[in-house]
Amino acid sequence: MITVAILLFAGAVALGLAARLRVAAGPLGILAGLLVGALGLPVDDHLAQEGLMLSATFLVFAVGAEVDHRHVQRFLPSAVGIAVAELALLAAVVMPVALWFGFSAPTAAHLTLALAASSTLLAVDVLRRRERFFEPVGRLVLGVVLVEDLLIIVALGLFAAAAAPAGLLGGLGGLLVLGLGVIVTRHWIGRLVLVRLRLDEEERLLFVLALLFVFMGISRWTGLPLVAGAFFAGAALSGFPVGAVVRAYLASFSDFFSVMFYVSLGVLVAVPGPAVLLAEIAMVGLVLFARPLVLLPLVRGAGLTYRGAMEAVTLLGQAGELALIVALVGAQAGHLDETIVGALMIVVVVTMTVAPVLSSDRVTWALTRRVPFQATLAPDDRPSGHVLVIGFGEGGRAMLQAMPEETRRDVVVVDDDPAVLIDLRRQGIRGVRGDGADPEVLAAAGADQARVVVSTMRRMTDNARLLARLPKTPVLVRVAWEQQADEVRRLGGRPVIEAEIAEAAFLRWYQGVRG
Amino acid sequence: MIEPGFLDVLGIFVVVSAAIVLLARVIQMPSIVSYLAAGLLVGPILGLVRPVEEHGALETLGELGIVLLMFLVGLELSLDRVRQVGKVAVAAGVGQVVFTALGGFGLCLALGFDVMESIFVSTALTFSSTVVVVKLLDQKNDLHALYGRIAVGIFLVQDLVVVVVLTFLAGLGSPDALEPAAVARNLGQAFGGMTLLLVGCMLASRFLLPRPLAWAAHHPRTLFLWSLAWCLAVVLTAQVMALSAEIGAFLAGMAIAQLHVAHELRRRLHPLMSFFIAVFFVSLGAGMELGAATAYWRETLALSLFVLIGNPFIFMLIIARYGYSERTCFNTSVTVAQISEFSFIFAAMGVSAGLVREEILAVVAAVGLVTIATSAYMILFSDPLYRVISGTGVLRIFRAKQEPDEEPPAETLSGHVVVVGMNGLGRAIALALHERGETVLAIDRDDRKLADLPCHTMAGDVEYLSMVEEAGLPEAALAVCALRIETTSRLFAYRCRLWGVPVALWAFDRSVLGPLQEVAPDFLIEGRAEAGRRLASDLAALARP
Repeated sequence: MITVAILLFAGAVALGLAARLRVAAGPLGILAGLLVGALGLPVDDHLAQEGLMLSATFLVFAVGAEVDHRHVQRFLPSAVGIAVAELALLAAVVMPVALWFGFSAPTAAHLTLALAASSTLLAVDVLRRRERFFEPVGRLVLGVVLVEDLLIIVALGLFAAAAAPAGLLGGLGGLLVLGLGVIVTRHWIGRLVLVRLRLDEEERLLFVLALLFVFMGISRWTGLPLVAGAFFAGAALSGFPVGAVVRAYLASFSDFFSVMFYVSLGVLVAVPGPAVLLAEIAMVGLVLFARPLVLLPLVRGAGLTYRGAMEAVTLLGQAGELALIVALVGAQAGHLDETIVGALMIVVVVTMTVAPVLSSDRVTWALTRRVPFQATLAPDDRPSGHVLVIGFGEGGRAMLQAMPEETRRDVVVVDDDPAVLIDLRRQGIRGVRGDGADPEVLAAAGADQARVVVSTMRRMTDNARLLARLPKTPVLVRVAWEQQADEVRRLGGRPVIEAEIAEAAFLRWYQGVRG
Repeated sequence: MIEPGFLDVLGIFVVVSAAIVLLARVIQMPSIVSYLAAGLLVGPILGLVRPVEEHGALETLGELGIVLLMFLVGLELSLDRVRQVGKVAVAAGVGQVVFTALGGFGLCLALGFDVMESIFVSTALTFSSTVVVVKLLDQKNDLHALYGRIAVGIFLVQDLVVVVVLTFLAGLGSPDALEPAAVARNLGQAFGGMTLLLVGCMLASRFLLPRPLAWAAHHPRTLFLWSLAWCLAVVLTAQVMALSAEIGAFLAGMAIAQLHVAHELRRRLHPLMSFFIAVFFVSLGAGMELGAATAYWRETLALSLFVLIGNPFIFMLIIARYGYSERTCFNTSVTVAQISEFSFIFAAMGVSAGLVREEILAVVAAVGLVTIATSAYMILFSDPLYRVISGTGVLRIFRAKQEPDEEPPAETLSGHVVVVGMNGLGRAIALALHERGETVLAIDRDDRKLADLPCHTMAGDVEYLSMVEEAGLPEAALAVCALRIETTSRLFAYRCRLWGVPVALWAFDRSVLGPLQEVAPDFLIEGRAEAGRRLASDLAALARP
């Protein structure tokens, strides 16, 4: 009990700090574990190892449970292409370098897999927190990490099976059985047991856990690593409505075991000495910077705006929980020594901490502005009496569609994203590239001569600056809530409140239903 | 015999118990009995696994299960609620211990056991299992009920006595343990420790916990882990004070029970507890040594009947004296008709000290199995059992009052409107409907967003089935989900469809339209697109040259 208590206290502190500092909890969990080890607290190593195995199982199970291709929607083909290309490119870079340094082929292969494994849980967490999970950027990122996970688990399984008595054929057979298990569970068994049979929560939970261990048993018998079974078991429960029904139970397990996983890892794995510092820096650089650069054109090709693409590739530029699982499985099979596992742990800590920062609004906008693209009005085009639209998202598109053709011709759009402006240009709508809150950009778009300005900018500070700049021009400002509307009115603008409009639409329906 | 590792054994436990639990639904077998049966099957019967003690992690999971179970009970019961049943709990708890110990001792002697064996067996029969009873009360959702609170109070009193008796028995080999001074020291240590821990927890509840937990409530994972860390901190403190982990966990939970996070925490902890406690019971079954019990079947039967009938009998006598109704007395009394997991420890202590024969351990295990399995049915089906026995008139001898006890009726809503997600939209809709005279229940995970609403409110996560059931969703006239979380909105709508409740969902973004339409809500609130169209119409008015 003392060991569990120590690991839990360390995890609780790490989680609190992560919430306070708004950073990923995993790296802080590992650091907390390292601290526990450094302080020499009485942790039973054997128990911590067994705890690590159990935690890894539940962690991978939770990752698998996110595998619902319906979340990814139309981005699935792009996600597959991006993940495959990324894995191939990484293999092309990492494998020769590792072999050149004298590592064996299995070691090089495990290293490649580990460095390709972005954290699904981090991506999901960040996207949910930013409310971008269901936007195109969120769906594409989710698609890429899920395909990555699947490819890595399959590859990892085949590596392990090749060395097992059952051989590669046994491994392939195991993967086939697991795949069939996923299909059968998603379409029939899961729905029958978890939805149609009226089980209580305890019975449902038992079924879910039994399914996990049955899949792990199949993995074991066919020479695959246990985590392969855990991943496929999660995938078997990821569809709707089964996945939604069990999500709440799994959240408790995932919250508990993910923290225990990171802290136990920190306790059990030693940090490598300065001898491998250069290798660590190279791997961090590869994950944080080289991977996003390679991914950028691919992600843009999937139809994301530049800003969305920047956010996606920077968020994908990290190695996460699956990288650590690959390292542990590799170590268990004798392909990776403790130094490499320790070095990979450092890569995970650094990249999982930095990636959310690099993918933040501020950094991605700054990066987007550096994309070499010019969009301004022709030198002889001095718009006057036009409709100036600042910011062009979904609301802007709906507005444009609802406009009569003659008004649409008068529209000038200011947006920072080149992809948006290219699309508008195709529709014959003029655009100026830049920040709608920047006076120079506003001047270039003829804001002073506009007969009306529409702002769909999200930040109230930007809207306040705009309203201060245009005291005599009617400015319509789209806001989310009533509180923001008061501020707009105070500054002389005319708010269009999304919530109020949505409420009115609902009440009209309600009157019809309830009389 | 295979040589399985920790995960293999855990897997066998889980898969076998899931199979038995799901199959045994047909005969309404309580899950505890299924777990014990699974343990017996994989352990003594099939010999698939080695003794659980060889897998430290399994033992730890079982211990965590007990700790979490008692923590959850503490979360249900505030100090005031426990205090209301304090007197009867002490009287019944101590009274039953004395009766069973003396009666059991006499019965053992009559059955032919020697004096030392009779001491150990009668002590083993004395204590009922807190874990079994609390698990069943939780399953019945009766922890709040008057009889549930009395039972929990009694078991806590008995847990204190267990600590004293364990210390006493551990030193039975040495004559010092029987010294009055040693007995007084043990008693003082147990009650002093309990008082200190109780005062510490209540002070923490008032001064230490509210602010950090209020902050953590906005980060559900942090709240979850911090609460667990708090629980384990108190458990370790209790163990340092020579108290049981159960008492520590219960007090840790009680310290949080008054805080508004208790409900949400209970929902989040429940799945984890269910898993760990299942491991505990399966391990218990797997570790049972029943081999020699068949030779002592008469003794086993006699002792089992003594526990199944004698213990409830003495409870009825005591509790009826405190003015409770016959039904409450009966429901409380059937909770003590089993022996505890501690009983096995007592017997094992006697065997290892060379004071009793190995066969005695098997007899105690068999009595444990019979009484736990039978009493599980008695507790789960106590109401129909009461109707049958009461019909015979035999309960009249206890002279308990016939009128039902007054319990505050649970507040249940019906025909109401459930609005989920108190952002600007959800709030506006909740207020508008409230003004139109609807009974509105507003739900959000963040209780700050509910603070100033004039309608009914509830804090929690609607992904949990128990949460929406508590919200009375199946009886609602209408439901609205204003969340910006597609998966949760879909699940909410799906449940509404299952229960036939009309539902409106907020389609906050164009990309969620398709997935939300798939669950066929009655109405989709399209905020952003509507706003775009409004902008166009406002613009048309303003932009005329």
